[in-house]
Amino acid sequence: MTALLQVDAISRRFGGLMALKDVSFSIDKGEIVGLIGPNGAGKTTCFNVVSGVMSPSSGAIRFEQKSIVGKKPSTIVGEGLVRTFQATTIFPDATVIENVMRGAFATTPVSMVGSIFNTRAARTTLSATRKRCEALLEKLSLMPLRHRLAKELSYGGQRRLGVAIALAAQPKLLMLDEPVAGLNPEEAADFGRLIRTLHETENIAILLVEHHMRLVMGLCHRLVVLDHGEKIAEGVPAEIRTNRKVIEAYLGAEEVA
Amino acid sequence: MDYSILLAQAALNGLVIGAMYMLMAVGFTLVFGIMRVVNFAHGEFYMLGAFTGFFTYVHWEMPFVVCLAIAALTSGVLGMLVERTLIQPFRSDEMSGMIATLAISVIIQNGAVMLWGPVPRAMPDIVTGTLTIGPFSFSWSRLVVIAAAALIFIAFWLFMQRTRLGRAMRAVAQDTETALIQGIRVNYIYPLAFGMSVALAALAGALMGPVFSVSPFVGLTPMLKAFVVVILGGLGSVPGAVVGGLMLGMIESFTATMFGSLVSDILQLLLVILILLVRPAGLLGQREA
Amino acid sequence: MEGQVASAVGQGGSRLAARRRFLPGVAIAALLAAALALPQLTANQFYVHLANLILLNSIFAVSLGLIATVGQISLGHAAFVAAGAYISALAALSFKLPPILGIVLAGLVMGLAAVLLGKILLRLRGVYFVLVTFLAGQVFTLVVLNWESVTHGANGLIGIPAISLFGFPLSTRLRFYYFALAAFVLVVTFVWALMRSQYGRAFRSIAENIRLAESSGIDVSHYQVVAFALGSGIAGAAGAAMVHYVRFLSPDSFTFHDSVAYITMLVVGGRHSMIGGVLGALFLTPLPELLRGFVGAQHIIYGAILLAVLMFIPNGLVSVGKSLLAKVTDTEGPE
Repeated sequence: MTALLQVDAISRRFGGLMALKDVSFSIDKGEIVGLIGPNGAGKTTCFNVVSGVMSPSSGAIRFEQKSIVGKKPSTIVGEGLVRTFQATTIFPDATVIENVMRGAFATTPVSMVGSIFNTRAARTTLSATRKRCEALLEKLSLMPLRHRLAKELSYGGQRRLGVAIALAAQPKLLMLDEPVAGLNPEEAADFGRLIRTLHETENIAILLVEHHMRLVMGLCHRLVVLDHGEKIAEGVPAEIRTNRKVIEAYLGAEEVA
Repeated sequence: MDYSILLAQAALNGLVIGAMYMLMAVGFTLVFGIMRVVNFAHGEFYMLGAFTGFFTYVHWEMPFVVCLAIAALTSGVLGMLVERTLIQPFRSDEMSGMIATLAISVIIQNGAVMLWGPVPRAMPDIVTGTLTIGPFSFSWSRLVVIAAAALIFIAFWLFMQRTRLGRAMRAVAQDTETALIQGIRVNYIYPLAFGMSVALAALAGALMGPVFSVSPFVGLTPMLKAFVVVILGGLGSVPGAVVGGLMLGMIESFTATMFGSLVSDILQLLLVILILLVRPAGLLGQREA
Repeated sequence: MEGQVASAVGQGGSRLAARRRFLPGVAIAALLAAALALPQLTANQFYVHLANLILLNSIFAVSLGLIATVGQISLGHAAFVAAGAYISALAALSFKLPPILGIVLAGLVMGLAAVLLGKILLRLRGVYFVLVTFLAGQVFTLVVLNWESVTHGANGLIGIPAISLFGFPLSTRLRFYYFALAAFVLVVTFVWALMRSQYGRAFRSIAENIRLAESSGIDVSHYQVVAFALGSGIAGAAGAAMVHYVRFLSPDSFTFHDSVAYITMLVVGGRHSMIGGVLGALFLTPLPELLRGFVGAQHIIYGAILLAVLMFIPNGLVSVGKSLLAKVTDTEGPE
């Protein structure tokens, strides 16, 4: 079975520091995989490397069997690998619906020049995209707010908008960077349910980085554990929960329940 | 053609120019490091210093050291006022702040044209005579400029390293939020730093008055060079400004002697563009977020 | 199908919405009519000349604004204007190239130059980009000043021919006015259509959140170069048009001070709006002419206005206009 995403022995060095060392894992279609580990384990770096924001110092990354190392993030998005960011997830001065239209940029099959001349074909395509974006807003309970400026949304609303923007790019694999950070327990649980629903209805694989253990254990099919830049464990949540190495890694560092 | 004499001359000039560039650049980079402001009006304070030096030395015939002090004080105070009223509103908006300093430079430069006219004035040397060592002769006025600049910088360095105020400034430059938490009154530090910065520029202007002439347009080139130095040495790095300033002075002096001043200018500017592209943090600069 | 009207806050009844939809069109038609009739209203050639300057400055400012839509401010814009001017002037003088073609050539060459330069320079952002464009502009001025064999250095180029359309020379201020007006309408329409299109969507995304834009599949470096190339190309063409009007060109024609002036116009008019550059040019161009008697005072007033706008009306005159408009239209319809 060929994997959707194949990460092979990636390493990333910053000056003298090895932020990632020989990390390998894969993600199949239809999976929800969690990337966990104590603070400073290298999860964010791993995310950045896989999504093309940084290049690996060594190693290979393949998406749908094609190498994506060295490609621009915008190109990788076009291939179907989309990520969200923990901070600054939105376009603050644009309306909510415009935010999502921007997320749909790469997947809007309109001729650029045609859009300048506002041809009938362009209008039709953009109209279809708009409907698609509105449907996404509906799924994320943001439709009533679609003409509000993104910066006016609540924190939770901005988080949902960030997901909508990412979904507009029609990902095959969606990478969520700490999606529930800063949300209260109820909001976090809601968000978890939302992710599971989207996973099923949109038919996307999900890779998420999170510190919220309950969410991660309940949501993910599989977990990959990093510590000090290396993969120390991989398996289903039940296994990871009782894994010696994982417990030691967390006890040795700050724990975020 | 005795090359050794030519080279010695070029070296001396390089030090003189380098000293000026260093003073300009240190002030400029100080303000950027502490307040993240790119001060396009920096050159105009150099110009004001040159005029102050001119009027106090030539018209009021005061001892030159006093002239320097007056130039530094007047520009410093003016700088503090300018910061407090015109630059402070832009603390959260870097770009607007920069455009504001552009506007301020336009106002100051044209104000000078209105007050003193566009015609350049000549300023006599502070000291006459030359120092002769073997076949080499160096004019005393040049040596004095170098010595004065060195002294000024040492005083500045001691202030930054040894005094509470200086340490407070460095703290703000490193991490404004932490400095605030530690109780450092940022609202006092900013005008003070700005005032010091332009005072340094004014001193450079006063010192160089006899070397270049005194006119309202005399500030553009030193500011340009301050940019170049600061980019070479790193925006926000004082050691970088010193090294960069002296280096640029030497580069300029030698390339001008060998190829003429036009080629020298173009080379310097191309060098900067190159550095900006290859290593935007500069040779000794801080890493930008 | 959504109305393509610029972001009107759509509250109130359908009568109000319908009025909103027609209002801009009517206003634009009225303005155009007034502009066409303008020269008939005044025999004074000075005002026609002023109008020409306003039209040209508007194009300079709007083209700078186009570069600003990707969040970059160029302090070397005047260099592109000057380069375009020199290309067309030299082509006309040395190769007898018809000025109208020279203008097109200038636009294309400067656009291409901007693509090449942009690929390198646009890697820098914010303050660094401003500094490097400032320095690049200075290099250009130095080169022009000293490459005397080609540019005649400080003496400049004289006897530059006027634009000739179908054998009809635009040698008077009045004739050039209609040409400039047409060029102005063309440029403004183009920029408006561009900003309304997917290009505009990409540009604004980059300006608002560059990281998110890239992660939304918008190739940031590509679109930055596009904005820079289009803005610089238009500036170059406009510079060429100007030089065939003034018919004299020297290194002093377009300097750093002009780059500052364009930024001033853009900021005063409103840098976040497309018509900001136009408003700024309209407001600021007459100033130096009106204050010609007071040497230096005109520049001080320029600087003071810029400072005042930055401090008190940061989004420029356009924002003042918008809030006035909002007040007026809100008092009419049902709430």
